[in-house]
Amino acid sequence: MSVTGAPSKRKVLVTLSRPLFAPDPSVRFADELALRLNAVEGVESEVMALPFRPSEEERLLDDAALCGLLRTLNVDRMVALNFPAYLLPFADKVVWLDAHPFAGETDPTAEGRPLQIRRMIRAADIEALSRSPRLFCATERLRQAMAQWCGVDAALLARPEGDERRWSRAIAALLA
Amino acid sequence: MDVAICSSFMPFVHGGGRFIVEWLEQTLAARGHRVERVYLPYVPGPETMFSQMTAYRMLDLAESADRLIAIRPPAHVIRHPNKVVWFIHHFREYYDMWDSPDRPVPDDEAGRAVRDRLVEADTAGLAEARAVFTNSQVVAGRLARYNGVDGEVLYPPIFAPERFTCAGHDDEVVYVCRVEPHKQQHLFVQAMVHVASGVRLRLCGTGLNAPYLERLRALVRDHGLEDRVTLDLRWIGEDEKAEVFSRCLAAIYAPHDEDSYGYPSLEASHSSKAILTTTDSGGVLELVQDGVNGWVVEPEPRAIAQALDALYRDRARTIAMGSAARERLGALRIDWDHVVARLLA
Repeated sequence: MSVTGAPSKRKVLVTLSRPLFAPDPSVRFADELALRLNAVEGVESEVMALPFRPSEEERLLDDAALCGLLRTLNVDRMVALNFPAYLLPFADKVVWLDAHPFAGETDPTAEGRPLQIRRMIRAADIEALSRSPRLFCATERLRQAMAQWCGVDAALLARPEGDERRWSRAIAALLA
Repeated sequence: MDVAICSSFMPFVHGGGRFIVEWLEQTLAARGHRVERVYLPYVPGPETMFSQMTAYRMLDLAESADRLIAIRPPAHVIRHPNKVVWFIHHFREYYDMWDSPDRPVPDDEAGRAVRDRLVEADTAGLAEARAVFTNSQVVAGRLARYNGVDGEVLYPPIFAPERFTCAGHDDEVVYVCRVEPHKQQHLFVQAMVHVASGVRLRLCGTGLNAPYLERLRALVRDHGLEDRVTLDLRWIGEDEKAEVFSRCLAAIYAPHDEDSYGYPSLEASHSSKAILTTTDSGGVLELVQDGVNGWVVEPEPRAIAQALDALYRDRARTIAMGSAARERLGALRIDWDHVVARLLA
């Protein structure tokens, strides 16, 4: 009898929101991240890209709520890369942001965003991000903006952009 | 045409539910359409079933795609003015399996209310579609019975079927698919205790049910079948799978009460190999005709053993049934040209 069986690997789901039928750099970044995670021994990774239309403000609340209602299974760690994908509830979630639609806004009605939308998104962010074991921001400016926006204390983790040493550091941080 | 293919999925689980999506995506793209695959997570269970379906319902793809093709449930509840549903199964524990031990809610007033609301939601989502297709007559029958929906059977082909060829016939009957209790691999291992010929059995595939994998190993060990049964319990790639089918004597696909014929049946047919299945296999019986392109036997080890012996001993008939299996694909219009024409009509 010949019996073979692959040992189970740690499952890392890279999650993001993205527009359909439009080139989006976040998709390429997610694909590369999953590729690099798959290269780590004992890890398997795939990308889950949720549809999102970032230009439509009136949809923001719906899309945020939608992500909050979804559930996922058979995942050991989630790495969420942007808004509103990180609102998907998951116990072992790492959030790594390089942008946020509201962070940095100090005027409640900035860019015409109604105060009510801001308040509800902020409440959702506080709920989701305060529960994440780790929150990373790609720039110091964003890190400070997120602290101001919803009071979270993020760590700085730059997006590697081809730098192998930065990639190694990033992968280690995301899997820690 | 800009086409969004929407389907629920379980991360890191690969199989038929994904193949139908990804092969359709590749096929449409090869025909010049712009295609986006939208996989949405879904966790079974009554506690969050409706809230997750609400999330699907909240998706707004109306202006993003010219056509939405919904496949694995509950993707059919997504709204779109040009929605086509290729319905591959219900949440059966609330439908035809309501009276089974798998029923997720009690059969009381509250439980039945959950079931009835699900049926209403399914029916409403399906009614919005410009067309509803199913992957089998079995599923079409359930749609008619429970939802009052008239679904057209549109059999899912496999991608690049030319990969599957016949390179001969050795002594092995192969069962290539996920290894799970409802696939009934154990019946075939048990049958090997009773075979009287030189036929060999090979099981290929992996599964999430560790106790079942161990049960199969124990069956082989306890019955001393090591020299006649090969357990290759791992995910095998497409090329390796094609090679396994190309040289085998015949193939098995015998799930318990499955909705469709299953891709392993198609892969065997494209490889011109006879198919052994069981009378309880559900949609497989739409493809396999007893004594024509394979054998249909009772799901019982001795009956299976007789069929395995017949495949081995009457090799000429086994080869003829393999040829008939390939011809059967054309008779059922299992090809991508037909699928694309119907889904985009």
